[in-house]
Amino acid sequence: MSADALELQRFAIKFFLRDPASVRPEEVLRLFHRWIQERRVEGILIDVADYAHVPDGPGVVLIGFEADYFLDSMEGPAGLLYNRKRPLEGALPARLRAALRAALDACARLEAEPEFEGAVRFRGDEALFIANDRLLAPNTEETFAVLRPSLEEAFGALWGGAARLEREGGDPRRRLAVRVRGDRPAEAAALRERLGA
Amino acid sequence: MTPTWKDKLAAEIPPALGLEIDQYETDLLLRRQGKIDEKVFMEARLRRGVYGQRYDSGQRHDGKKTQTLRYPSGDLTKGPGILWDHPGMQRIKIPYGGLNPRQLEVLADLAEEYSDGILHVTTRQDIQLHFVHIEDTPAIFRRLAAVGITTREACGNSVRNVTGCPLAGVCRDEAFDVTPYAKACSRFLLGHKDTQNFGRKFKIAFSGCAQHPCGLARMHDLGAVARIRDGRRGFELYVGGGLGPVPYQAKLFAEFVPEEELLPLAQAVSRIFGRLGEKKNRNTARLKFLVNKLGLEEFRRLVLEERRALPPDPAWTAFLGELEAAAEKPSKPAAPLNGQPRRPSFDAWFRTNVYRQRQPGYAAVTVTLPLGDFTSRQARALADLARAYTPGTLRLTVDQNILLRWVSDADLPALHAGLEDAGLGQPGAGTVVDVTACPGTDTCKLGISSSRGLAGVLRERLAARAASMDEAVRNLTIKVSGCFNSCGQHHVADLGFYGVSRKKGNYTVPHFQVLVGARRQENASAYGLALIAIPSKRIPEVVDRLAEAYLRQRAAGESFSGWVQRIGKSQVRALIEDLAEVPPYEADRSFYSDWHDPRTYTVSDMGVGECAGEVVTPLDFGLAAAEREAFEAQVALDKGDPVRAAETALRAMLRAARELVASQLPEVSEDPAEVVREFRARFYDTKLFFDPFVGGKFAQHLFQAVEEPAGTLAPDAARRRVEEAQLFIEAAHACRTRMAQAAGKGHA
Ligand code: HEM
Ligand code: SF4
Repeated sequence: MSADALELQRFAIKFFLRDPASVRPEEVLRLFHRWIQERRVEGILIDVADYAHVPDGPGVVLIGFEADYFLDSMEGPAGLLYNRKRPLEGALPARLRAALRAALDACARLEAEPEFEGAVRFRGDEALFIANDRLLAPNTEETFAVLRPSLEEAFGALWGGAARLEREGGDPRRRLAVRVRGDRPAEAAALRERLGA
Repeated sequence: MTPTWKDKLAAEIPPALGLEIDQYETDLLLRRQGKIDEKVFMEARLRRGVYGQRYDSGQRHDGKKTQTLRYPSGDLTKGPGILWDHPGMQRIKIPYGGLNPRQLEVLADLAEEYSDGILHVTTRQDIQLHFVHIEDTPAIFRRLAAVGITTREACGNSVRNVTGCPLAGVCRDEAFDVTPYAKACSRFLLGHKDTQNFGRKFKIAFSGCAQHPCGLARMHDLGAVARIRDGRRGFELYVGGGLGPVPYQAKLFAEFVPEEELLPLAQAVSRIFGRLGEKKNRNTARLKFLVNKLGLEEFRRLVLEERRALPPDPAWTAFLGELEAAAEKPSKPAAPLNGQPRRPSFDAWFRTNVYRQRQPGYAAVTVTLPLGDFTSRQARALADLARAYTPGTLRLTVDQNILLRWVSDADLPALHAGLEDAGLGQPGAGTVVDVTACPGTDTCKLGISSSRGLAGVLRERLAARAASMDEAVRNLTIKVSGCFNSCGQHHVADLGFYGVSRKKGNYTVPHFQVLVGARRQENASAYGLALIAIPSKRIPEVVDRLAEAYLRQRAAGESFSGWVQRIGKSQVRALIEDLAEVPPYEADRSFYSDWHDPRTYTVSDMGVGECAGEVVTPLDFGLAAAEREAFEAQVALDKGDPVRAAETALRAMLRAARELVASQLPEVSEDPAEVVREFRARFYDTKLFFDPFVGGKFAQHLFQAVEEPAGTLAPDAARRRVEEAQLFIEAAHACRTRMAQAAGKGHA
């Protein structure tokens, strides 16, 4: 079995909103611009791309250098998708944890934005992992088997041993995607804390 | 060893293409190590469609202050002042917009893995990906090459994508299918030794007929319109057209060029352009300037002489033997549309998005893409639908949509359902809702106003009212560019807009120039001209007012341009003039940021107190007067008085120049010679008047106009002078803004 998938550097992690209608694209657009002004999330933040006009699309995107933050509706119901583009240090589980931290930082920040008055909440019992590299991680059972231990290790930190992994089926042309479910639902901030610094 | 796309796709990439990509990758590595010059690398990447993107100098104003983007590669550049790490745009050439499902799937993969999941269709039938990292480009090229796509010569001074009517082959009005000719032309000229030394880009378009604007052959450097004469196929050939700040109508080079002469003539034109075209000053380097300089007769003589001297090349005619074999054939039998269950939304969609092909029982279906955008997922759904219902051919259109051809009528309800399920079932193709826009301030470095933001807003508002709209209004076209460069083709729409800015007190306010008067028929035979600049936020009102007035006042069957011409531009302008007013910042801040961009639209005035009073300087008044004069020149033009138009246009430029001079030398006289002398010394020689991108070009318009008496100008030269006057005044506004900024900094 080829271990190439362990070299994976491009991948995405998504947390879903409890109520997809709780935040409107115009609000996110404004917010992301403010995040750039105030450097609110990790990484070099470049610009905001607005694709709200595209149905079931990537929504509003905070474009960064190392990673992008999407308020995405392309990969399932609306949620925050952290798309890692540039390499991270360490072995795959460590890279996944670093990305999880960044993603949850953004989710927690969104939940805490005063203008939403607490209306924006993420589902703290589920996440989506997407391998964004068809060369290193083609969408196959084999790749899933290679990635599985790393995913269990990283997501285990959120939900203990209770993280259940399920490969999304369907269109083989799509990227390898894995649903991760936990049984200890929590606010984004609490999940973030479980990861430590 | 970590796998690479290079190894994985080695067997699928044609060797010559593979070698080119290897060479590019070497250049990239060398530049990474600082071993080749940034300018050399820049040309290498531009020729492969790798463009810079907004803020690539590493400076971005976030609405409050300018932030420096501190990238890991630091000062390393991929061109003068362009930071290595700043993500860029990748343009992917799709000749005549023709794609197959497999290619579409690969494009979808690339959009996900290297961009933001969005595929963008451009106004010249290309695909663009945005926010792409330079180091991913070799992998992108290889994955494209494996499915027969090259990005070679997608940008840079080269033969750009060869465009063609998306309906070619199925159109009811065409003389014949131009597809194989467009394809042969694009293959023949790609990488040809005679197309490698151009001073500027070179655009070619094919049209199947003379009357419809689908191919826009007359606004291209080389335009070919299909003709049959005495039973033989050939082309009416046009040269020297082109949009851009000052658009040129192409000139008729030959009424009939037999099909076998098409490629040799294109080669001869390329040689002449390569040899005699301007090389140093890129502002006068397009073919249109050469044709104009030499005169059509002389240009024609040189080209034909060159043609005679060309060594024969079998490639000129090889493709003619394969025309039959290359023709698209339907994958399913024609069957009538009746009885099949349809969704409630089917009828509205059918009315606007379904075209009856020349071949009975078949339809061509337009997939409406908002702002030319679609997602990777939608791309895969489209590939599936194309496989299921068509012979597997798709076309990108210049209206930034996608066309599926050869759909059996009986399959329309099922195809509609499939499109709708993929979020691609919107009606309104080719109607007023279907607004075209260039990238504008979203990603383009030269963007002044948010063309996509405006287009999105117009689209949304108009779609909400489309059902109750009168047919005449529904059929209007709207095209928006973010600046005067016309990448959104604003000159060829009923309502065209291009971005400009205006100073208001201590702030800068995004505006759009409003253009009317374009005639779209006969392959875009007349260009629109600017009426007046209106704040961006009031453009939707402009659209409403003009549409309402047209509806109220139109004579039976009268087109929008016909109405404009009949009532006159002064009347049209009067309908919207009051909208030009900008409320003070304190009264309404919404005017001071652009559509879909909440940042305050200004670069350096933020330090000045918010309650600083309004300052309307004599210069502002003077420039407004010059603008009025430029408009009067246009009215004279419309009245058929080119001499007065040219004189008035010159007067407008002189006035603007004088106002600028007077801001430094209040006692300057009205004497043209003195104005020009002082303007040259104070604004041209000092480069104060220079546009950051086109340099002194606009000042040249003035210098040239004073040399050429109006009476000696041909009518189309007079029209250009009017256009040049408008650009000169825009440049004066921009110069005034820069001076204010410089002064502002001094105070801070
Ligand atoms: C001096 C600078 C430029 C000039 C004069 C110019 C002019 C034009 C014109 C006239 C067209 C449109 C129509 C046509 O010929 O059919 C066009 C197409 C286009 N331009 Fe530009 N442009 C310039 C720079 C840029 C830049 C900096 C960008 C953004 C990065 C850009 C983006 C586009 C796009 C997306 C298209 C559509 C199509 C395509 O070729 O696929 N342009 N340009
Ligand atoms: S018209 Fe201007 S803003 Fe639009 S793409 Fe062209 S250069 Fe950029």
